[in-house]
Amino acid sequence: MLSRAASLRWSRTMASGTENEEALDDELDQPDGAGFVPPIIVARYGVLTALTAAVTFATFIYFAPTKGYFNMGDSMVFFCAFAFGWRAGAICGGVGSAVADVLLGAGFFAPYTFLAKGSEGLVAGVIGRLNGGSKLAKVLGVSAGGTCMVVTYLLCEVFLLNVGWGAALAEAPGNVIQVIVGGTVGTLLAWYVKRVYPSSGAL
Amino acid sequence: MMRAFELTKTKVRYPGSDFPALDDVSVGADEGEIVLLLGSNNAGKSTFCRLLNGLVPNSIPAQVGGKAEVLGRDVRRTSVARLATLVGMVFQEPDNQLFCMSVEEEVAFGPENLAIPRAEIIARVEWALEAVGLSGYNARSPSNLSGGEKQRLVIAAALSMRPRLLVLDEPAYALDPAGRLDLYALLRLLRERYGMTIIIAERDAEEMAELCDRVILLRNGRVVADGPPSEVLSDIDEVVAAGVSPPQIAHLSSLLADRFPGKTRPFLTTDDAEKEIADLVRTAGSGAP
Amino acid sequence: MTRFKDLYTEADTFLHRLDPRVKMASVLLLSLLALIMSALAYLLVLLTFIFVLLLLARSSYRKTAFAMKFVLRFMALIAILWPLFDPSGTPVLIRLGPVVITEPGIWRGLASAVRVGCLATVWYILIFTTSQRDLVRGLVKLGLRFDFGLALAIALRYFPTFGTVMESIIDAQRSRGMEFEKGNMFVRARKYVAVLGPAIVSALKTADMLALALQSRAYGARRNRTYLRELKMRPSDYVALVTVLAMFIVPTVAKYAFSVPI
Repeated sequence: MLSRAASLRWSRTMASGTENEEALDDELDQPDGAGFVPPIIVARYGVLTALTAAVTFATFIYFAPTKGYFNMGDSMVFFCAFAFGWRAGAICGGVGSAVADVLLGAGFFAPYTFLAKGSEGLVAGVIGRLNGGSKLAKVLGVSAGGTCMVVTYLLCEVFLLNVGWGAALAEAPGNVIQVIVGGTVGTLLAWYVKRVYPSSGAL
Repeated sequence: MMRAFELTKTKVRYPGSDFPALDDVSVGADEGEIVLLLGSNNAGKSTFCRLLNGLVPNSIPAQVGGKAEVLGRDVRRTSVARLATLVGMVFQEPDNQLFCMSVEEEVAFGPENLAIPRAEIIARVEWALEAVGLSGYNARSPSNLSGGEKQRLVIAAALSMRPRLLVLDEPAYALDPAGRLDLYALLRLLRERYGMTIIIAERDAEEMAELCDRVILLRNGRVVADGPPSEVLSDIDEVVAAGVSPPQIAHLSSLLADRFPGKTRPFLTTDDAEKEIADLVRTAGSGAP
Repeated sequence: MTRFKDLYTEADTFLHRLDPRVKMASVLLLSLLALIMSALAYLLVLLTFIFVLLLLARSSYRKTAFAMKFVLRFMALIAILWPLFDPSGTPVLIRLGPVVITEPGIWRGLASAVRVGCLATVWYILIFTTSQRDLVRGLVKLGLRFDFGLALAIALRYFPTFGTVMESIIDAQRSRGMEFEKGNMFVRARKYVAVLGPAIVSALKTADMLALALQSRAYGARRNRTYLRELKMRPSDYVALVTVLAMFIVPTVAKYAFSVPI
C-alpha cells in the first residue's frame, strides 16, 4: 500500500517539521484566527448561499415550462434576512441568487441580480428586525425589500441593459408576485427554523 | 516517552446543561497506542474527542475543570489551529467535512492554512494520498467518490498536517462492512509505519476489539472501565449496562467463564477462542471416567 | 440529478486552457462592447463571433439549449415590446390611438434583443470552459479575500447536493398528491414551508459540522497562507488578452472619437 520512498519522505518531513514548529508558535497561538471571518460564518454563509441558489434553481426548473420566469428564490432571501440578519440577507441572498443566474445560463443578469436581491435582503433584514421583529416589521421589511428588488431590476434593465421599458415592465408583475409569495414563505421559514433548531444561531 | 494525552479529574459542562458531558475523567494514553473509546450515544464520546483537539472549549464554549493535556500541552491554552498540527480529527459524516472541489485541494487545505511552502505541500499531498491508498485521485471531485474513499480522503486531509494523534469520532458510521475492514487495516498500518496514536470512538465493539490495545468504556460521561480489550469486553454486564453491544466472541468468552469458573482465560480472537476451547475439551476429556 | 449538472464541459481546447482571469476580463470587455454598440449589423457580427468561439470550445448542444431557454424568451419579449414604447423616427407603420409603431423602432428593438443575446452568450465562453474550482481560484487571485472565496467554494460545492435534495422532496411530495400550483397563496406558502423547512434545518446542521471541520484543518492559522495551485499567465494568455482589448478599444474609439455609427 505504501512505498518505501513515501515512508522515507514522511520521516524527512517529520524531522524538518519539529525544527520550525517552535519558531512559528506565536502566530499559531493567536486566538483571533489571523483576522479571517470566523469559521462558523464562512460555513453558514456558504451553505445559505448554496441553499438560495438551489431553491432558485430547483423551483425555476419546475415552473419554467409552464409559468415563465417564476421561482421561490425570494423566500430564501427573506429567510436569510429574517433568521440571520441583514448581512446574511444581503450576502447569501445576493450572491446565491446571482450564482443561480450564472448556473441557469443567464450570467449577464448576475450583477443586476446581485444588486437587486442583495438590496432586498439588506433592507428586509434591517427593517424586519425593528420593534423586536414584530409582525408589522416583517410586513414592512418584505414590502420595502421587495420594492428595492423590483425597482433595481427595472432601472438596471432599462438604463444598463437597455432592453426598453416594454420588456422591463413585463417582468415587473412576476417579480411582485414573487415578493409576496417569497416574503410569506420566508417569514414562516424563519419562524420554523427558530422553533425546530434553536441552536442554529438564527436570531 | 511523552504521553499522547492525559486527562486528570477532567470535567466538562456545556452552558445551559444540567449534567456534565464528562465527569471526573482520569485517563491517558502513551504515544503509539490504539485506544477504543466505547459508549452509547450520550456517553460523552464526542466531547472527549473534541476536547482532545481543543474544539472544546476553545470553539464550542464549555466549562472545563481538572487537567486536560495533549502531548504535554494544556488544551485550554492552545489554539485549535495549533492543536490541529498535533491532532488530526475525523468526524462522523465524510460529506460534512469535504468542502473542496478536488481531492488534492482537500488534502492541501490544512498545510495551505499553515503556510507551508508549496513544494512541501505537493510532497505531503502525494504522501498522504499514498498512505490512504488514493494515489492518482488528485483531480477527482470529492463528491464523486464512494463512501469508503471519502472516509479515507478525510483521513488523508488530516494526515497532511502531520499530526501525531489521529482522533476518529465514529468513523465507521457511513461505511459498509468491507469499508470498515479497509479502514481498520489502514489505521493499523498508520500505527505500524508511523507510530501514530489512534483514538477511535465507537458505539459497538464488534470489529474493533482485535485492532485496539486499550478500551475505555464511557457511561454518562464517566469512565466505567479502562484496560486491555479482552478484560474490559469480557465483563459483558458492564458493557451492556453502558449501552454498547459487545462483540459476539466476547459474549462466548464470558459464557464459558460462567460455565467453567476459573478454567478459562478471556479471549477476543478466533485463534484464542480455538485454543481455550481445545484446552477445555482436553481437560474435560482427561477428567472423564 | 442530471439537472444539477455543471454547465462546464471538460475538454482540451485553447479556451479551456486560457487563464480564468483572462476569460473573466474578456467577458467583461465583450459585454461592455455589446453595450456600447447599437448598430444591428455589428451586433450580429459580435454574436457570430461568440458562437464561433462556443463552437471552438466544443460546448455541448444540450447544455447550450438549456442555457438559452430563458435568454431566447427574454430576447423575444424585447423585440416584440420595444417598438410599442419607442415611437420616434419615421416611417410610421401603425398608428392605433396612443400606440405608434415606427420602422426604426422595430430595428432598434431587434438590435436590443441581439445585444442581450450577445451579453448572455459571452458568459457561456467562461462558464462552459472553466471549472468552478478555476473560477473561484481566479477570483481569489484577482483580489477576492481567501475566506470569502472559501465561502463561495462551499456554496458551489453544496449547490448540487441541496439541489438534488430539494428536487427529490418536491418529487416525493408531488407523487403523494401535493399540488404546488393549487390553493390560495397562503395554502401554497404553507406547503413550501413543509418542504423547505426540514431541508434548511439539515443544511444548517451541515454548516455547524463544516465549521468544526474547518477549524480542525487549521483554518485561519496564518495570515499569509500558501496555495497548492498557482495561476500563471502564459504567452498565449497575453495574446488573448491583447486581442480582446483591441476588439474593445478599436470600435469604442471609432464610435466616440470619430463618430462612426457602430
